Amino acid sequence: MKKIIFLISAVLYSLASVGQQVALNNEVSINIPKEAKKITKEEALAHAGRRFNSDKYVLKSINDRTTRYTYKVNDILVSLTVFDHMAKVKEGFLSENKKGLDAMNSSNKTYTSSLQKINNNSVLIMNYIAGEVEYYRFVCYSPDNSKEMTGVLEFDKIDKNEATSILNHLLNSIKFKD
Amino acid sequence: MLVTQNTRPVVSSNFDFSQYIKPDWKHAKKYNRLGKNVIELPIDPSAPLASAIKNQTTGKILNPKENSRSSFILLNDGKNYEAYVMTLLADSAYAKSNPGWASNNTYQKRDPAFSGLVLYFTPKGQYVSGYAFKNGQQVIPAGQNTTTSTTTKSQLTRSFRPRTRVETIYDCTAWYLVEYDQWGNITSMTFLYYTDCTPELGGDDSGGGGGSPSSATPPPPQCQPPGGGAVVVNNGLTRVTQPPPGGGDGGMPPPDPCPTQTTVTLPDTTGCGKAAALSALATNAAQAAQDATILNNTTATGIENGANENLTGWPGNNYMNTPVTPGTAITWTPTFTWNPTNGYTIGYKHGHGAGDAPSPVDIAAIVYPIGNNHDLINAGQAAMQFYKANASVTAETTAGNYTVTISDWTAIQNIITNSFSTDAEKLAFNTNYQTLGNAYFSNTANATVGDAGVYALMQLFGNSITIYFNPAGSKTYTPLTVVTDAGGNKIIAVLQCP
Repeated sequence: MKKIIFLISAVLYSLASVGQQVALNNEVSINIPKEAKKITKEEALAHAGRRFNSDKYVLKSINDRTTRYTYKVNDILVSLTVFDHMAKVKEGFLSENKKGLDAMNSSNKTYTSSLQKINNNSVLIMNYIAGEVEYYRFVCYSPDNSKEMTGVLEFDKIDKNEATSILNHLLNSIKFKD
Repeated sequence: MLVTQNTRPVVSSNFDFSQYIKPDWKHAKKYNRLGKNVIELPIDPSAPLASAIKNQTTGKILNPKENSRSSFILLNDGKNYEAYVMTLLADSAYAKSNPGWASNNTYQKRDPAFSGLVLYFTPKGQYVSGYAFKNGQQVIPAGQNTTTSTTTKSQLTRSFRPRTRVETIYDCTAWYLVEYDQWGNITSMTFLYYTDCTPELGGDDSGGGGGSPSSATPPPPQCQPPGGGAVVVNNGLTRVTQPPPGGGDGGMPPPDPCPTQTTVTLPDTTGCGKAAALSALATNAAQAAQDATILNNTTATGIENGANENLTGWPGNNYMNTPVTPGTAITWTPTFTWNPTNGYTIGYKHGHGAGDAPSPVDIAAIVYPIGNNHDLINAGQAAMQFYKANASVTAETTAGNYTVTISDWTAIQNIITNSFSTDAEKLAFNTNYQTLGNAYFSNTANATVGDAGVYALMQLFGNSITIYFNPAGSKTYTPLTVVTDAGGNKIIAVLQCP
């Protein structure tokens, strides 16, 4: 039942928030929800200070990031990362690393992860709570495993439904160039 | 490493170079000189160091800190390594008229017009010996018949009394080396030597000569017995006569260590020395077979398997054939022993079938014995030092083996005591570790979970640990390090050892 609600909310969210397909580099584009506002790292840190009560984990996480693509969708922070230089990985790369990440996070009872095929892309999704913040992290490889993009959504757990909808919207819109 | 004033040693202690600067192996120069193989390494520019010499009596700094340059000098006579930090302090006039003075003065080659000081230190910051040059000519120190006191040496700045019935008071000039961090903050002062010691006649003494480093002519080295302190002879003190310096080949005079200090341990600030030892161990057939059993059992059953690494005796390197035992899906519990029957545990190795690197608790497991194992504690300081020098923990994965050693025991004890003692602290520490690892995995191109864990450990434990990796199918361990890529991202990289 929960899944159905999430799916319905994702569809409704997608219909209501169709944004613009943005090329993040020469290899990958993604649809940014129309409510999304592009912000700087400083603005992201300020938002985290207010919304997440200056949670130390999220502040460090934002501070260490070098991406140019950080957005605020209502109270949810969305950061997207693309790579200009990368190597093709072997089939099963994400599956193998998922096992290790599951082991590494085994003491965090909120941690879950899943592997999905979305539009033929391979996607690893992690969801967990650390400190006062909930996270969705995803790693997405192109069908031929030669291109990669990643993202993280940071949000208060009361915004989980909205964050899930945004995540689905993003993952369904990732397009790698052939 | 980001160095702040608060993290630096207190004033008046030796400046432990090995904790704050590291060699830039990429720009190593190798050559043969004075019958020894030499490796000359500049200081890694990520943690620059500047030095000046100070007359403690007058408070005068004799050279702008910009007129200093330090480098690592590794000497090998075919058997032993000697390691030094060579610090050059140029006279202002010389530096001004020779802007490229630093590149014209190396251990191998000295500018024929060099004016200034050449000082040698052990990597732990102990002054070894030094030389002064004026217009390319060595300045020979005046007769040095001074005595000094074991107990007061480091406090003295002006005068002292030898412990004889004749209460002669000497005036001396005490010279200190002042170290600056990259922001120009004074971070330490290390006592070097006294000059111009004369019986006190009263009146002012502005000793130490003029206002340039070369005027602070270094005396012979102050040889000390192994336990530290000066050599006491008949209630007085003595120094070993300095032999004539080398350097007639156009290079800098070599360091002139005391007879008891001729061999020092190679500073393994990069982990390259330990990596070689781990690689040698990987070629041991019994160890290799045990490694294979651990990994096969772990991957076949989904249960972590492991073995204690126990020596038959210490010092030594004969390993006992310890059994491979199973743990659970997420843990393997080691057993520490320090006795001749069960062996002397210097580490643990265990399988991580999911491919993740050692966890924080794996590292804590090799730190705990120094505080809670009475056999080890009661075995005395030498045993403790042996354990500390050899302790390691290894996680074996299908991608390869990750081994962690402790580089700074004081630092890691502080981390464990202050941040990894209570359940709440462990939870917070692990959350931090997981958050850092997850972020690395999702922010880094082609990241592996092994590297993600390594990154998280390096962030949390800093320089207190060194992590090595031996890829599957190889027998070569290399230290891992964090570098910044072209996009400004911090990524795990293999350190290339010479």
